[in-house]
Amino acid sequence: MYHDFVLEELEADQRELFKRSSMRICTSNPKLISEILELTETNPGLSFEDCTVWHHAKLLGGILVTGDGKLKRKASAGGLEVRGIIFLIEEIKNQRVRELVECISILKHLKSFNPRLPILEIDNRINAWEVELANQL
Amino acid sequence: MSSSFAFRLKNARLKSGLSLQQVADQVGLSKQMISKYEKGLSMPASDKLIALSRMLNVKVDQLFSKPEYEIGEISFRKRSKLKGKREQALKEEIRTKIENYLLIEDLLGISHGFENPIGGNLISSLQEAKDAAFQLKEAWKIGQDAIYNAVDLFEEKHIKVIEIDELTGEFDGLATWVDGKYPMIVLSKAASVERKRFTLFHELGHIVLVSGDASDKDQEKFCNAFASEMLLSEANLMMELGESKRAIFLEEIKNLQEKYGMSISAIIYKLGETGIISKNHVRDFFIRLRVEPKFKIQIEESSYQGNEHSNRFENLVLRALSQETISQSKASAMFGVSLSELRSQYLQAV
Repeated sequence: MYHDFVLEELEADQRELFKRSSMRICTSNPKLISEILELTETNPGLSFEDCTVWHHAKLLGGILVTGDGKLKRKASAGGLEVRGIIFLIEEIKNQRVRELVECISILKHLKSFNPRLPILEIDNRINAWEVELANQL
Repeated sequence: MSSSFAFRLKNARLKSGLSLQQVADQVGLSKQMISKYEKGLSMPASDKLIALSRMLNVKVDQLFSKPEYEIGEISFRKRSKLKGKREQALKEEIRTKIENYLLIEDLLGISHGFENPIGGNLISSLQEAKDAAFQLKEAWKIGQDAIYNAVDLFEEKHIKVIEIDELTGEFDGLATWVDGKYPMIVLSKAASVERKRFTLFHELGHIVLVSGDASDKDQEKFCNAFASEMLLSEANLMMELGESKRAIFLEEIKNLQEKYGMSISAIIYKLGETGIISKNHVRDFFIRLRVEPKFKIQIEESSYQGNEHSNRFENLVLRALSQETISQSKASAMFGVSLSELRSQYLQAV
């Protein structure tokens, strides 16, 4: 599930990818917007869009997926389970949405263009998944 | 209902120069409904909010930011040609920039403190305005020599400088106060570096000079005299060129321009004011500038090599982002760019 405010932050081609996926789009009525606003007022370092996903994750009892350090810290402190992109790829692998070989390649690609990600964690997964792949063959 | 949303929506509409009807037509709502939003009587759902933010070219976050500061009058100089919607739009752009600047300082716990060291003197003549320039340089302990970078100096003294994209040439700059205590100067990004420097010191004059009940016209004159003296004092001018000259070479003026960051025309004018060259000489220069296109180009092409550009706001936002005081989404709203623009323009890790 993704939120229409968050979708609005993306570029047109990224938006298309989401729209083509089977993910559900989440909207906010005026009452929800007022609730989100209360959250922004007590968290001035977060944007309205950040608070939207935080609030919806709380309401739905879901996991908040973000790569943003500030949002991660605030939402975790508020008792929410917060995960990053590595968790997502792990889920894709575990639920067999994509082949193992493809998941390894995604991790390698991620590592090559995003230096802010934890390299060690990624390397550990790549190594373990490569062993798993060798065992499958 | 959110009063900040009502306030921001109206400001964003004024900034875009659109009428209620135009907004209503483009978003697919009635004019009455837009008016209700602007009065805080109703709140749209997310789809309409997104449509409004797209149309008004502001991020949704900006439509909800709470007005935290009391911003003084944003008024343009009398000679400004800005009128009506364009003036209103520029005012709203300036207001947004000022608010973002103060917000980031607050989030980082930086004080806005400013002290006027010459605030006790009442200015009622051009000479007093020039004397005030000398006194301010003394009080700020910056010596009486050329000031290399005015923006850096102002920011060190807690006067914030904001640049805006104003391409029509109808706006030079203005000074305003926030919460009645914190001075800010707004400059046109497109102006030449010499123009920016003169404007900066002219607006500084509006901040530090107390001119009692002097007319607007006199205040402008005092600020011009103050700015000119801050950039290149009469004493320095005489030291550089001597007390009187029958002839003067363009190269001499260019050397002064290079050292003091003042335009050639302003230096010639000042030479006449101080009596180093005659008033007739000054008049002849300006006539020649008008009638000889080649000469005009030669004068206009000569420029100061220094830079007057403020990076402070940008640096504060990036600092806040790197220490996780703000999120990336908040940073992109403050810069007025998309998330991917933020990442490609500002967040290349080293």
